[in-house]
Amino acid sequence: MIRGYNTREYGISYFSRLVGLLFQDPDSQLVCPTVEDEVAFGAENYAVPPEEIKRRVDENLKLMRIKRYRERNPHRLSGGEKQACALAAVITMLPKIFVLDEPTSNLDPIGSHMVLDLITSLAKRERRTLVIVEHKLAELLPLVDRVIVMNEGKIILNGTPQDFIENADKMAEIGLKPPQVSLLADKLKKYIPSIPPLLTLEEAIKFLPQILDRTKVKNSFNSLHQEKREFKSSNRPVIETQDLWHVYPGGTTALKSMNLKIYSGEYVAIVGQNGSGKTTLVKHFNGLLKPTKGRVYVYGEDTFKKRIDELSTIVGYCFQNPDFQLCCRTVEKELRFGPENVKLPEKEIEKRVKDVAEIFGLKEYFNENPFSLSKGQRQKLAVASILTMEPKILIVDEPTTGQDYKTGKNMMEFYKRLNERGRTVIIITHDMNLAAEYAKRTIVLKDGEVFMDGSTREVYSQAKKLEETYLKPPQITELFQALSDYGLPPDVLTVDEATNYVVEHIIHRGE
Amino acid sequence: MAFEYVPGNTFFHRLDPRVKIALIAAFIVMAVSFSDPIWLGCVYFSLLMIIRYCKLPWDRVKGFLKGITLVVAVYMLFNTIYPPVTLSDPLIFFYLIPPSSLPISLDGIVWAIGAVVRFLIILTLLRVMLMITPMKQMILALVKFGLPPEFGLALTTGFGYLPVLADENQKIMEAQQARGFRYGYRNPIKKFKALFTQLLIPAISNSMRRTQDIAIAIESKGFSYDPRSRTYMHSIKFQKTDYVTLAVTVFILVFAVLARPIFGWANYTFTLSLIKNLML
Repeated sequence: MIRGYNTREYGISYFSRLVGLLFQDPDSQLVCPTVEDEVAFGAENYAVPPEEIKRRVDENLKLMRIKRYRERNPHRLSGGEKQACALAAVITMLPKIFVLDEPTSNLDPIGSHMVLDLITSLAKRERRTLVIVEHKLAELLPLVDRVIVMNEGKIILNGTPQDFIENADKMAEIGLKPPQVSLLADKLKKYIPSIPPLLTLEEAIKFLPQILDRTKVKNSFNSLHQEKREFKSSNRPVIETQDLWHVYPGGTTALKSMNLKIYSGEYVAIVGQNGSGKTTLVKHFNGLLKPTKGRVYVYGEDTFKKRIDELSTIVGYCFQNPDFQLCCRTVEKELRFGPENVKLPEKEIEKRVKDVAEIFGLKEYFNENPFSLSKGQRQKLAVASILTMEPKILIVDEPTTGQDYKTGKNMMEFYKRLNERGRTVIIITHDMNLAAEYAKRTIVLKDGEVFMDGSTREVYSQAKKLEETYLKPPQITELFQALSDYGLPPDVLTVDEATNYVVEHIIHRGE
Repeated sequence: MAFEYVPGNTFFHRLDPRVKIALIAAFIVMAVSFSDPIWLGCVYFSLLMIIRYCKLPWDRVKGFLKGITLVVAVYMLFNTIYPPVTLSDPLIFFYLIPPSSLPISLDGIVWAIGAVVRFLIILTLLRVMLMITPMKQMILALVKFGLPPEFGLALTTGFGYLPVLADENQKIMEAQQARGFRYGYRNPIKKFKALFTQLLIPAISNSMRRTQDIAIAIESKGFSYDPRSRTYMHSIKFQKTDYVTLAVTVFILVFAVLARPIFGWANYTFTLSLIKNLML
């Protein structure tokens, strides 16, 4: 029942006037040739008079801050702007209820911040019912009135955000990702039963000093670990770029004078906003792109002298969206595709396919069509079909986008094991928590240049500098940095580290 | 992109899209009915003047012309050798295969030049009109002429998605190359085979999924609520200039239809006889 109408008795177009839907993928919901037409489209369909449509369109373009793109093809906007345009299109229909389905999951940090900001201002202004389906809870929880948690088709929690964070560890178990400060509070409960549940960074900043023993903290040293980068400089670099420039045919300079060395066995995260050159850079590592100036060496060999199919046996590159990678009729053929292309002997192919299928549990699906698998399985298959090439270097572009926390984490654990067995792993990501937890070295790109490069701890401890690229360290790192006056180390990266640290420096009231 | 609108506020930009369609018709009738290179040249020249007047980016027009050079050359050769009109007493220069097959004659060349200009007129015309008319208006005009709104929407959405699809296909090819598949063959047959066998399946299954998503998006904005009585934010309306331009266009149209059959003008023999007189 929606506002008293039975959903079985009326068609979709009857309800879309009452319930405005915003979907996850902005590309699939923009159907008109210009931004203006897109925003007007819904209202036109319900035969709203042209004058009224014009008024609403003007108002909403302004509200969503995309007025200057009026005449542009919506597909040529940035991710955040596309979603803003789609949102404007929904608002113009004046629905009574808004339903937003993971509106930020395909966006980079700037984009998702922008969209969440717009949604908040919308909710405040319109006072309409707003339903958001989302994984990103740290930003969202403080904004909402009520949280409904679903698992396997059942509602397992229906209450306030406070109720949610009181059960933070239980929520984490079913694959959700509560705000890091809530997790910290939850973990500290064992030691300090009186700790209140924490929802926002501000609450945590206020609360934490009360339980810390100032004298103890002051005496301890300011930085957690002074670990150096883990590679030895005597190691030969496996990838080396020398004054690498890339200018696209249209004249856009994507990379400027990059000098990077990546050593054998490293685990590197490359982070940066959309358009900062991350993907362009790694496409040079397997020869998909060639420098317009400068050189790239892979295992000492100039990529100009190698074809992509030769490099593909050394550098495996897993793309962001599995749907663009799968291309065969069965799962088995998919796994064989790479090794067959480079004409490995049949015996070797069979062995590799068998091994990889076992690791990923894909054996039972051998004869299924890859496109009929679930999204998580498709992602697995995409990675598996690269691993049958047994590349020495594995590059993964956005390993967790569009997945829930648990699936993403499992994949990350898998890459970690590969890395421990000696493979060089490079991940490209927007997800700072992920980079912080797994990568040993972090390279920050900004406008086609290497902006920061160092051990992950070094990079995240410089929050000010990081801010220039609109990236934020994990919430837990921010918390500790905000309390640096109390002597807390600025380079804590995970909740576990933070918990251990706090426990060591708690005021032991009973003593 | 080939079909992208170039914003502007010139006389031609402002015309009602229905008048623009009439104008397209007039030009096409002229191009088809005339066969004389000089007459056709004048028509093409006026088209170039429109491009200039509307301040359209010349680079894009030029780039497009460059792209079709090979086709034009082949078209020219065929028309020279086999002009579809019977030539009376042609002035033959030489035979491509002596002694007497595939003749190259003055008459053939004059005819072929006309044919090439005609070809260029039609292609350039369509491109220019799409550059000065927003897709939405063009479709709206077609809907007013009786095209069902559903078709109109399909057309606009289709064109809007071209850049997205091109990007996706690029990604698919790159992903396969990253797994050792070769696209970069010199041999066009091998290249075509690689494209056909490897790109087709993922491209189709992707666009099918995409189509479903788009259909849901369109539904959720209520398109099927009552497409026939939906309103349009910018409706199109005839202005005074539109009536005047339409009258001129109709006049041109009538003239173009009558010129050759009634007055015997604009026939390729006009230029031919000019040249022959000069040679004598």
